[in-house]
Amino acid sequence: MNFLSPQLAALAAAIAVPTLVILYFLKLRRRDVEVSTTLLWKKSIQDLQANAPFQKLRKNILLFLQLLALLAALLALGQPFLKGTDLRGRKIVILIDRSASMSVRDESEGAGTREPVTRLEEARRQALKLVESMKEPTLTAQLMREPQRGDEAMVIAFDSTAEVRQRFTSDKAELRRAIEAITPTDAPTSVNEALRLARAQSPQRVHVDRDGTVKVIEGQTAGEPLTLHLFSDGRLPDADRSLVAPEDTFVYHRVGSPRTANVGITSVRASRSFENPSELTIFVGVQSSAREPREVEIELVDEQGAKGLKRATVGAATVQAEATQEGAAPADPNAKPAQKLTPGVGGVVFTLTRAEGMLAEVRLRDAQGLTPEGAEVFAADKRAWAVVPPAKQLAVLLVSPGSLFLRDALEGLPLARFEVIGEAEYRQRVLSGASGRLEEFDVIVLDRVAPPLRSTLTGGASGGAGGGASGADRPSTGLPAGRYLMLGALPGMSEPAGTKLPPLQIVDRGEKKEPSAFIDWRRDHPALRSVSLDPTVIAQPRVVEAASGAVVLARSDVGPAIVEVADEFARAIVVPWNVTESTWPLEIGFPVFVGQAVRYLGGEAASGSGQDRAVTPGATLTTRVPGGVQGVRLEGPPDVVLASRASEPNRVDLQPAADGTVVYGPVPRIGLYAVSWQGPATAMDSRRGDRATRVFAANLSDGAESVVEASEEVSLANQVIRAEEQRADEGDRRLWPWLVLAGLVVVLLEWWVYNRKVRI
Amino acid sequence: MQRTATPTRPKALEDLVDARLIARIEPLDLSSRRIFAGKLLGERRSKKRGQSVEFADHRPYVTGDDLRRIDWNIFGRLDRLFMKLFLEEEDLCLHLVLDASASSDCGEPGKFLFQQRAAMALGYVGLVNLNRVACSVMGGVMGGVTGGVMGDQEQASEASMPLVSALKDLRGRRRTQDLSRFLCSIEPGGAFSFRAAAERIALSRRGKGVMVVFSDFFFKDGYEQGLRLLSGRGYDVFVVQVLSPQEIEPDLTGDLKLKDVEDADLAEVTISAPLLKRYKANLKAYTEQLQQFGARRDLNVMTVRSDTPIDTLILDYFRTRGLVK
Repeated sequence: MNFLSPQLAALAAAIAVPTLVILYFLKLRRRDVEVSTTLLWKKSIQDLQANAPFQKLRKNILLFLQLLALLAALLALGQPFLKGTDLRGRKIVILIDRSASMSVRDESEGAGTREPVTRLEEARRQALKLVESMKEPTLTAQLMREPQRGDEAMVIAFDSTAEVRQRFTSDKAELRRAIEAITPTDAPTSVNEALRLARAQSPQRVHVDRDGTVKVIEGQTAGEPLTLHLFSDGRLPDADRSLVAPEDTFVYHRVGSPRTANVGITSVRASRSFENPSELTIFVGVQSSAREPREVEIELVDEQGAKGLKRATVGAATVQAEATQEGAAPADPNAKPAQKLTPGVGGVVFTLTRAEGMLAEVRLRDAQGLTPEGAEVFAADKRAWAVVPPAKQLAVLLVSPGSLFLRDALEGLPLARFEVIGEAEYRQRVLSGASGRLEEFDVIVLDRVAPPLRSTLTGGASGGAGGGASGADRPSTGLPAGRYLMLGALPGMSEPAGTKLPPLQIVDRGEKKEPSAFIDWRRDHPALRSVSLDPTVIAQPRVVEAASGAVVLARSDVGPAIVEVADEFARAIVVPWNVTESTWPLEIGFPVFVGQAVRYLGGEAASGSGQDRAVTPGATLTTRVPGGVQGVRLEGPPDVVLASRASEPNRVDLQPAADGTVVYGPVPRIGLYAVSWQGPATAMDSRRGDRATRVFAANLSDGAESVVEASEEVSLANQVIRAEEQRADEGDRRLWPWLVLAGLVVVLLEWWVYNRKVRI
Repeated sequence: MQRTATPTRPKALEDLVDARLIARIEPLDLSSRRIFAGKLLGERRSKKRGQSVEFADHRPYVTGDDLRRIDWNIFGRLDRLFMKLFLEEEDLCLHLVLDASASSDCGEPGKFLFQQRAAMALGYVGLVNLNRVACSVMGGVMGGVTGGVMGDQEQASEASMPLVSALKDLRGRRRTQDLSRFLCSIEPGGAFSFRAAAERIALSRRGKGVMVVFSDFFFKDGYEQGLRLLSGRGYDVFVVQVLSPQEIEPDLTGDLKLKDVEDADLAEVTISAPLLKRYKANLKAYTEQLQQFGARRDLNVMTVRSDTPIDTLILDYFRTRGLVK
């Protein structure tokens, strides 16, 4: 048994006990009674007191009982507790996983008829228990207003992002409120950010040199060690990239059953054939963590109704350290780390002929076709959506002094319109104000041609679309409105030398004569996907500087080599060096790059896959609406709360940025999210009344998250933590209520004894 | 124990002794273990051989004896002269001493009332049998009694309250009214020194006889000296310790400040079973001590409760001890 505030109890005892005894000496207010003589009484008192001075006290059972009651009260004041869980860490971080897999209702662990609760509810229950067992600030600390005497806890809820729901506090009510307010999301799991967020609460460890300079030691934290309590099912794909500071304690509370199998949709992808854009193919990837092969049915539904139903066999999951891929299904980019369980995969392909846009929903069912399989257990991966834009081909204008490679590459693309003009004609078109004709083209490919700066055009008859130059300080593309693929040219190159240039996102620093090679490039960028720049040698590299707003897509040893610039009027991928003076056009990657870049710049117009209309739960939804539109609004699935209001909580108003970008995030649940606005719609948007609507599909599509078996251990980068036994059940036992009760019982006993005694 | 809440103050003889009691005590006469010489011829056997019908003894004739008392029958048989001795009957002095201190005014029924009644009953017995009856009251306050009844009233030296008020030399049935009036005139209260009072009584009494001292004998300065003064000098002393039932069985509870009614002495007690046990043991020891003291001094000591009926006291207690017969 330990005491939380022994000093206070001792202090109170030092005052109260002698007081009680002295009070017994002083006696009470006595009743006056006249007696014939006090002779015998005095003698009797003397007789009783004769032997020992404290005999009276010793025989006084009332005093004894009062002392006993006082003792109980004093002990209660000392706040004794029986140690349950060892909660030495005075700073507790409660990490609660709210990712999609925490919505699983485990069946086996529930006691029979009990309604299975979701893992998140169970995690909240356990976390509340932990909060309950926290050491409270002692009475002394409360009285003295000493801070930080009790346990303090912080609540972090995380899915793919982490969020501090409650800063460090010892207020249990606040903690309870924070824990109870955590709602599930359909986002995948990433514990890394949560751990970093937890660690960010600790001060940096610093080193003070002799001369007094303070250096922050990277990766080390100071302050009190933390105790991290993770309430999760342990499906943490990035756990092996996460670190826990060595002084911190990490406790993993497993929530959920390790035997819950799940079959879920891990990917939906729609793609149109290049040659025949009306030929639409929808791929559905399915994954199973069951130990036996599963028969599933996959239904394709569009706005009008069911479009197809296919059966598939999902292979059995293998439980091996190096599992071999089973099942002949389209490769699911299973990003799961080297876990023991390799889920079985399967998939189906729907092929449709459909030129118009489509809102495809894919539903996964049991082979019996009765109910969506396992929907009771885990619903988030049983449905998925794909937003398929209508088939459309691009119109491309090539402005080139004549480049065989480029022309060939563009002509190979399935374009609706392709025109090649010279630089002079282009300039004439731009300056003559016939820009309307230029705007017919989705993408303008400029081969060693720089367009005139927009700032020189403004004031002229052929100003760019939209108003004047807003935000003069901010670097801009400097390009007239439109989308450009610039090869061997930079914005502003067309200006005469010595012209004062406005701040541009890409700044020329001159050519270099030494050959250069690529060092790194963004392989995930749509324009550079499947493009290898390794063998490419740039004969005449150009040194450029990317200012803010520019995204460097590839980097050579002289600096940025491929840069994407964008502002509210224009977007361009700039290859500043002369492509013809390099080995690139001879490589297979060049036409691929050109094709992808044109499609990328063509934006939604070129997209057939609907990938840019997909958003992962937990991620941020970003899109650009046309300039000048009003009443931009995001509407989510009916059961999703986006805004805290009573009516239509699934609707939230968004404020577009200057360039029309609207952002909402993180997207909490799966489903269809519609951004709508009043104003012009692009070709890819549908119209409903006066509002243009752009639909986004939020799918879980996460193989790791679809494996819902709770993990027995969490492998962090520096340690492997096994699941904690259910020890949190027994927190510290507060004893003071029992002591107070005992004191009460003693007082009652005293009352009884007193009555019995005075009645004789 | 506590002061009598509503003390019964007797007004007349009838309040002290009722007819039923009179009927029961009428046949009684006073007696004494010792036979004392009286002053006047009474109905009491005297030590003196004298003229009475009651034969006592024979003794040889000596010269000068009254020839009328020679037992001629014996002379005829033995041819020797023997004097026939008769017991002479004479009167007996009964001296009643009452304690009218404030402590006597305690108890339920009141101890002083008990004393008054017992004294009246005894005095009645004494008076109707032609004994001399005297009555002394120690302490107390007088109220509304004419001076004529008072034999000699002695004033305490400095206090306005008389130490001892006394009524002396009552004789004959007719004086019962005087005695009752005197007894009724006493209002108990105050305190006195038992030694001083006993000294005064001892000095003032005359002749020989029986003295009955009623008191609770709770004297802080002790009763020994006073009783020593009262004993002897030709008096057969009966000591009647009157205790109220509340003194014998205290009905007190709780935490109390006990105040002595006489000297306002305070004793703070918390009534508990051990204390009560101790009190009773002390009381018993006190009365036993009194008994032992009396036994040593040839005093007749008895302890009575104030709720004892007077006829029980007279017919039972006093008769077994030979005060009445």
